[in-house]
Amino acid sequence: MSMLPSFGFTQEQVACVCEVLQQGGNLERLGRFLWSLPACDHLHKNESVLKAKAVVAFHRGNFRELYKILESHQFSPHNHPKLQQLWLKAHYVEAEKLRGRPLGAVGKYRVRRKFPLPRTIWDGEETSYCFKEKSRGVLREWYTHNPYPSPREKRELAEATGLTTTQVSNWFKNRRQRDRAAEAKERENSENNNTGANKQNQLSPLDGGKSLMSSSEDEFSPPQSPDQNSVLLLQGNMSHPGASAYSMTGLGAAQSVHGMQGHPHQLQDSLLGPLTSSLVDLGS
Amino acid sequence: AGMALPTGESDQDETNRKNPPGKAKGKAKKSDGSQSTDNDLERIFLWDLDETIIIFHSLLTGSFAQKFGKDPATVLNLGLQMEELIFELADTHLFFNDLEECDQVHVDDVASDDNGQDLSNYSFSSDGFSGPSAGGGPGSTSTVQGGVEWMRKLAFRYRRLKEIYNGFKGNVGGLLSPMKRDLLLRLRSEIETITDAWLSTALKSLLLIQGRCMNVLVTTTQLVPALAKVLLYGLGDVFPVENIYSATKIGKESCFERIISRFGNKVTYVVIGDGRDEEFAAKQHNMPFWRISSHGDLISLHQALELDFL
Repeated sequence: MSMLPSFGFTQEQVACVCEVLQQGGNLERLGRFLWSLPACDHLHKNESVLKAKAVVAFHRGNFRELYKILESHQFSPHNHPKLQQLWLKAHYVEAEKLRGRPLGAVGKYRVRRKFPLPRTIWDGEETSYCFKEKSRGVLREWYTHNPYPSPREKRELAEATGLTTTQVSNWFKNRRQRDRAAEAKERENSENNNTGANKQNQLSPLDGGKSLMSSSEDEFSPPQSPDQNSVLLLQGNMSHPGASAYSMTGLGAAQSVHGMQGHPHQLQDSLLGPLTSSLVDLGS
Repeated sequence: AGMALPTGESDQDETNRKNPPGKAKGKAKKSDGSQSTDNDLERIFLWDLDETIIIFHSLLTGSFAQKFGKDPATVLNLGLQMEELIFELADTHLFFNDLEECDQVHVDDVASDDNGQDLSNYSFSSDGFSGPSAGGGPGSTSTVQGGVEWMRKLAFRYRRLKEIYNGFKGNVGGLLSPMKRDLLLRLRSEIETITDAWLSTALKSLLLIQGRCMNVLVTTTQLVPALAKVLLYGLGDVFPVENIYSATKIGKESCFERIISRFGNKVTYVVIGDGRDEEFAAKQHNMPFWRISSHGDLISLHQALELDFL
């Protein structure tokens, strides 16, 4: 608590004034007070003072200044709600100005996604959900046992969670859809990593609907003929300079390819088996 | 919040200054429990008594003498004399003997047990309120404690207390003998000197506040002795009796809660005290706190009020 002789107020007293004027909504007076503060670094880094500056900046429509304040100082948790409100409201106002008309719920959602809360005023905890954590827990637990509750079970769930059956149905439907989408994306990712397959088989989870997703299995396997692959593989290996050390058995086996087209896996195994073992020998 | 207008004249605090100063005082006459409908009431200042407005307790403990480098014996002597006056007033005129064991938080707390009868010829000394207490066996003439009749007599006392307070808040000397009156004046003057005009400095802020908003007292002293202190230190005019709360039984946090339910939460509350209980209670209710630990803090408070910062 440093006392500045010419100014006359301690840091604690300055903070008190800031709080009083903020709570009272006397933002003009607050602005004037802040302006009268001496240029002491310590003072201007005080959290109550910063909060006050943020509130005044918002009040004046000085949003650039507001964002700068909110992003450049770490605020303590009990101030987070108020400051989050300022951040969001300011962004909504700016978005509304661009759009030329008021923002609906979806519009605001998009704004929140586009301008996520900075960690200086947010602890990273998920934003609030529509349903209570307890209800969501019940639904999640049920889902792991059976993702397809019957109408009667849905009614029971509704009672247990305090939701309507429609809400329960929607929750399950959305959960299944999102799980499928997540799985598909997962598989697509691993395929991209392994085979370098082109993207023609990719299905975005948002495209189409249930029908595509439910009969998904076949759609995703690449339409290649396995025997062509294995021949290519062999050829690839043999033209490789390092392949000169391979034994003649590999070559000999290749010539019998044509008689074994119907069994791609066996072919691959038998051809590759000796090759790979010799590769291993070479390696060691 | 919306966008600000460039000149700022629309700010709500500007309109307050146009209101006549006496208004806040008038509203204070409402009894506890009824919501203040005063739209202009912007701020309520919740004051601690001892070591914030008056210096009393620390005179007795020696901490004041130690902290401010005064002669301990002189200080102690002043404290003791003041204490004697306080309890004499409390006993003689404020029913402290009767009420010590059942003192209330607020002077209107038992008003609902009152029947409103005329008390001008009522004899408090012989109404059987206090005597050998409760349950009285055969031949006992005292009232059963806690019974309906006893509660009514209790209510009479608090009603009379209010009357006395209101009647003598500007002139406590009227309650004392001429000798005690002179003693009081002398004591107050000496305490003022030795505390470097602590009380008069505090009074400047109290008066300024009274002019535009409201003072409330929340003290850890019991209610009756608190009233005695307020009267003897000449603070009766800045604290209406309905604005005095004793936190002895329920603590400051609960008192603050009662005050919020009385005045609502559209008002901004400011807590002023020397630390400890009031600081914590203020934090619990998210009220800004102005600490008084030295003379300078009282001066800064006054400055902040004058400059319209608070």
